Amino acid sequence: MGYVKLPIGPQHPALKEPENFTITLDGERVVNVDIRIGYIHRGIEKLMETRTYTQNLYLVERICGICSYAHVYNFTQNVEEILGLQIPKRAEYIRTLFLELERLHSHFLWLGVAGHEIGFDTLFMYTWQDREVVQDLLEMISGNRVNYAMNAIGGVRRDVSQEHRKKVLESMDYLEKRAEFYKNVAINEKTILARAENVGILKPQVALRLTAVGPTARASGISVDIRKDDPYASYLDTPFEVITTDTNDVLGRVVVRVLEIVESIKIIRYLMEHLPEGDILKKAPRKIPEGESISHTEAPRGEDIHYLHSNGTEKPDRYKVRTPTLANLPATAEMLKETYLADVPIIVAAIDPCMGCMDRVLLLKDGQEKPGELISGEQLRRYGIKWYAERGWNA
Amino acid sequence: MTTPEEHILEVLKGLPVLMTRSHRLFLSIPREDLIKTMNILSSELAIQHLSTITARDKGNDLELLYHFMLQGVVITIKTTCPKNDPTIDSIVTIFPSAILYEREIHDILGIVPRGHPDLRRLVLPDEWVGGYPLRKDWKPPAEQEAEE
Amino acid sequence: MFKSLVKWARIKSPWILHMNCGSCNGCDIEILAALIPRLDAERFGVLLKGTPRHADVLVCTGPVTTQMKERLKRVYDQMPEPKFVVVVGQCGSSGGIYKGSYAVEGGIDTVIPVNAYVPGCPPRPDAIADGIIKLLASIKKGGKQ
Repeated sequence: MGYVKLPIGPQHPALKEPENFTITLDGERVVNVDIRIGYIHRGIEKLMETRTYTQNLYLVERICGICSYAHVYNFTQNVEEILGLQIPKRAEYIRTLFLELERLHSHFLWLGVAGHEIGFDTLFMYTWQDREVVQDLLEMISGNRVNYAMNAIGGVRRDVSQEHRKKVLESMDYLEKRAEFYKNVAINEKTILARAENVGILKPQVALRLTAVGPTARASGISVDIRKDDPYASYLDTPFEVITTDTNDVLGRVVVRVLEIVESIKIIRYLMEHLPEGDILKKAPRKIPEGESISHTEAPRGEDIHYLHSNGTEKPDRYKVRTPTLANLPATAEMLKETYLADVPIIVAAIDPCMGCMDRVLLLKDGQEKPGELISGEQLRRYGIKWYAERGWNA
Repeated sequence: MTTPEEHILEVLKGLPVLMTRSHRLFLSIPREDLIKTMNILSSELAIQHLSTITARDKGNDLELLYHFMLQGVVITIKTTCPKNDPTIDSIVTIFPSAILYEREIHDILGIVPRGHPDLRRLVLPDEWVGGYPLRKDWKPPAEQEAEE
Repeated sequence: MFKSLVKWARIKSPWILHMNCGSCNGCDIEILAALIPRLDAERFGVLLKGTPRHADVLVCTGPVTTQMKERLKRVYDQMPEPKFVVVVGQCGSSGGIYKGSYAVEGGIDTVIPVNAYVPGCPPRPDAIADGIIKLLASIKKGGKQ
């Protein structure tokens, strides 16, 4: 029997973002996977070269709406390193607070999406309801739910007041109870076990070779966490554990994330109890001297690395972003092989893909695949670009 | 106990390694030595984690930066290739995760990694004809046409 | 008689299809946040569907990237008449912060006709729900049939 090629995406109910998987099937079994991304390539890196550092603060934030703060943090850290600017300790603590709140909301979000992908919508409703608690905290402190606009070069723009602290600590108590509940669900709930155990295996050697990052790598027993390996913000002060499991499967990735929620709560408690007094913002010049800097952080999805080269003007000379989802893609293609078609959505969801982040990517994993027929689209004249003709299998 | 940086500096002794701050090492090499250096990193330091490859336009040259990570230390290997001969040896055989990053720099800056197994478009649409957008002398296709 | 029945059904149960045309995900998570128990957009009959053929309302986010333009058109064409389009977010309304990029078209309305805009970067879930409800109210008044 011949193989069947099945295109999934870019617009597909199982995927919340545009991406395209061409799956070669032998019956129900996945033989090969072609992943194609780049549908939301917005040319941010080029755009950044045309804008000032202050404008770029807001552009960088919009690389991704979920892990927006990790990107802004990287950007400000890069600029401050070139300036040689030491930001106030209180600002560092507030930044760390936001990094962790973001991890919390992102992991809750992921847990819900994972539940949705395995048809367990109750979990989705539960976790998203709890996620609102985190969103409320973010909104209370920064004034915005998603793109917080919290950072400025040289510090943060808003302070954490005494009431904020109280509210954050209260919410942490609540979330801790919920996290315990989810831990129980993840380990004992039959719906999850049936769909997640021994699915999407990623062996440690393979994960290392293909440089998987973040929870995906940690679920394969690789203890890699930038917060520990190269402490930034105030992670050096903060006690926390790096969570790993050795089950190598989707269940492991669920467990890692749930336990990381617990760790994040611990970190936030510590930060709120030890928040130093002082300024939150230092004045920074508009022009950044010539130099280069690399910054990487542990975003909710893994290592997020940014490179900045400045040339002494108000605008960056080159800015490069590599987001965790891109690093995890080769590993995803590996995980999908030899699984069943029905497991594809949850395996893909298990790396917590963030296509908005990845904006510039397109991966065609397998060299032997023949490209499909070409459907030429109507050519565009706007900007005079002869964009568009796509490979597609749709009717 | 030696720190990771000391260990790396020890292994790379004799090479002009520059340490800008803790956890950040830079090493500039000519492009002929790229594969040799990559082999040292891979075999003697047992590095597997290639974070990404950055490329940038320096005017007459294109600069490539290979960012590696070992125990939190970011090691950056810098090399350049002239714009009129933008080729470089592919490192895919040594670091398989380079496959995407090399395609990305090929797509947006026109650097050709020699020996790369699969150089299809990575970022831009398949029918893109507007050149390499991340080069400094690049203009949007509308302006390119207006000049012609 | 039949017409009014269809109209009633449409207003009481607008099924929506969500499409990301290059957004940063900020708007997308807020659309989902509008469906969870806190706001519960489902009580207005709003139901998220997976296919354009079932949908009455297309909820779009993001500046249209050049790769998504043709796909957006195709999805719009697949929706049965009468169809409505709600744009969520600043960049879907005008191109927003990405305006001027080589890979962005700028605004959903450069590609397909739009019925309602919900501005904000991203808009709050309440605003999104409000946008959809306002659209329904205008249909009820007679707007587009």
